[in-house]
Amino acid sequence: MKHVTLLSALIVLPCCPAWAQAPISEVSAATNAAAVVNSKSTKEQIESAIKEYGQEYKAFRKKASKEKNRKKRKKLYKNEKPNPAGTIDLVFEIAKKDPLAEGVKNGLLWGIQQADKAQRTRIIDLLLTHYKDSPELEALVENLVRHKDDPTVELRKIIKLAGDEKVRQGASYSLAKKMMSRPETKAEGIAMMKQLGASPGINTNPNLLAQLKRDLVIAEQLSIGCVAPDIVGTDQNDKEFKLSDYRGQVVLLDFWGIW
Amino acid sequence: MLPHERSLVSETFKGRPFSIVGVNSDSKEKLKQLVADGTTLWRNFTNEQSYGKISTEWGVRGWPTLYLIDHNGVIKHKGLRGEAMEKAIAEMVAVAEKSQ
Repeated sequence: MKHVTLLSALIVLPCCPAWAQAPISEVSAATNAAAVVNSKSTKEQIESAIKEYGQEYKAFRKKASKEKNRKKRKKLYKNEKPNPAGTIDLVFEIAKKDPLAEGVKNGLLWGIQQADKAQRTRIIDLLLTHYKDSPELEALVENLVRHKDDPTVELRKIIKLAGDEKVRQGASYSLAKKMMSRPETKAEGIAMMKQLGASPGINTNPNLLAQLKRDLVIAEQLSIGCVAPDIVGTDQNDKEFKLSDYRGQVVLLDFWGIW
Repeated sequence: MLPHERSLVSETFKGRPFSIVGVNSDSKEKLKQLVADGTTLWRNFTNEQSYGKISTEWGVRGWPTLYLIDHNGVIKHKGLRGEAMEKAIAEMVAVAEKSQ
């Protein structure tokens, strides 16, 4: 059965020579190749796929580091950097066949790191189907907000389905923040952020709560069009003064230092 | 940065309703020196460190961070630099003068 799994994955993904060629030559060379492949557990299959890509990438890095000419090195990265897409698809195919097997969760969490948008959606769906209660799904939220693609749909899925409260909180925070950053959804985002800040479980997540409060201050008091909150402080001679002392003048408020 | 800012207060907008207010993240002793040697020509709040109280309250992540506040205390621009900043200040100063 697992033999078929690997072969079907290879047929689906003939475009990634590095891992595709190795097993095929193995099959043609060894008489009992089927037995060899068959004996590999899901975990082993996933780990060897990831390892193979890792070696390919490492070899590329070594080659690239020898190229001292910056322009040529840039070209090298553009043309020869190993693409992880094939490996990610392979890992996904293996995972899908036996989603609860050992090694699947880690393989998918590896895949998400360099996945494209379509792969990301597939991986998240699979993780939310079989590992919805895992606290490790926090990595999904971190990953989603790093990309330019709109994470709204995926974040909503995580909020709805994740069993771990911290994961849900992280996803709610990221979604609210995303909405606050767009003028047309700003008010809705602020409301959502306030709701999260008032939710009973948020006290177990003090760092997130502190960040959330800062974000709300920025959105509600420090945006363009807001009256600047007053600053009361002291100068280098411990003399107190206020930002509002400057009312009537245009003020360039300059946060600076030379360290 | 700093030379341009100094020229804004000492030349470009001298005698007009414009001030720079600094929130400085060096030590108090360092700031004394920066005032004495003419690095800063404007008044500064001491923030003491980059994670100081004022900058934290204002959500400052990068240094320098610049806000332009009009004569009514309303935030009008964030993060402008160089020529764009000077142009915005000129417009805001003209409005401030009209309202006087």
